[in-house]
Amino acid sequence: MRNIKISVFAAAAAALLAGCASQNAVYVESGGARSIVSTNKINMADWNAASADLVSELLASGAIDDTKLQQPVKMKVSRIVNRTSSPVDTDLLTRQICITLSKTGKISAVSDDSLTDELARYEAKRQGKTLGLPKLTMTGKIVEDRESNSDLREVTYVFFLEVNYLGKAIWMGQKQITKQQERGGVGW
Amino acid sequence: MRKTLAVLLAACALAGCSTVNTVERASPQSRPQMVNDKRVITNPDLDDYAYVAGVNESVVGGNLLKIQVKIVNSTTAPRSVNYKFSWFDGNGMEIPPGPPWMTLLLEGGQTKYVSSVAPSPKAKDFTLTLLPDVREY
Repeated sequence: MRNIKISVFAAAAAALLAGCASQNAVYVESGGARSIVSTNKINMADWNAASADLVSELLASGAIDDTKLQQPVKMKVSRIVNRTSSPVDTDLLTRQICITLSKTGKISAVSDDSLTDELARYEAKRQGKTLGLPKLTMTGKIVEDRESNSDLREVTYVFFLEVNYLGKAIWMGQKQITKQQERGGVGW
Repeated sequence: MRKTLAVLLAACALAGCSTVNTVERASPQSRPQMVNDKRVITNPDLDDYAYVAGVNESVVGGNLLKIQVKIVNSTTAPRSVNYKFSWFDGNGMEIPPGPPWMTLLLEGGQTKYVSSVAPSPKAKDFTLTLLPDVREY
């Protein structure tokens, strides 16, 4: 009887110490301070940081205002070249930038959707107008650089972005994000 | 005195201290527009290595508020801190989506500036939230 009591007590204590841990997932803020970062890919925190820094830099430069174009200025996101070792969806960068720029009232992003474009052209034609072309384009490139030694692996992602008007870059920005991880950690 | 200095240096070496030295103009030409701030400190340790030394503001792009915060690591060890700006309109409503959490790396004794441009001309006020490194892996 005494042994049973001890066993029950030990089991209860073990459960208490383990915090009755379950295998349930928990919510964390997307790209937030508790999200996972690794050296094997561009994490959501990296996309967030790159887009926030680049858009702040673009707005602070006054480059859009300097064009003297009527705002919101139509802007088309053109090619973002991916030179990293893994396929990425560059919308994670450009969409966030377009959303923020649209809210400032300085930019209106031109849709990539063919039906939206077709309807806009039809409506313009019906009203005897021509559909204005985007005045600005956004282009860019994402580059990856890897380095390692016996203890650490390191990856740097460089996000280049430029806004062009009349064939010239009116603003160019870059954001570098470097991450280090001990060898043996998760990643490669 | 020498013994104390030696002990301090040894402790610093063991703790992996790497403090910075800086130089700047003795009489700065810039005249930053400082913001009177209100602080809520729930983590005094964090306030040691991510001390907010000042907040200044300007207007960029014609109508967008820009806030710059001076952060000082007053310890001798390199530290990292997470920060996030939130923006509010004239009615005190938060303007979504706020800028994301960002990570700031500070060497011992280093001063850095973090800034944010308001996401809308409607933005009138801001909050900067600072958080220690909470990643546990």
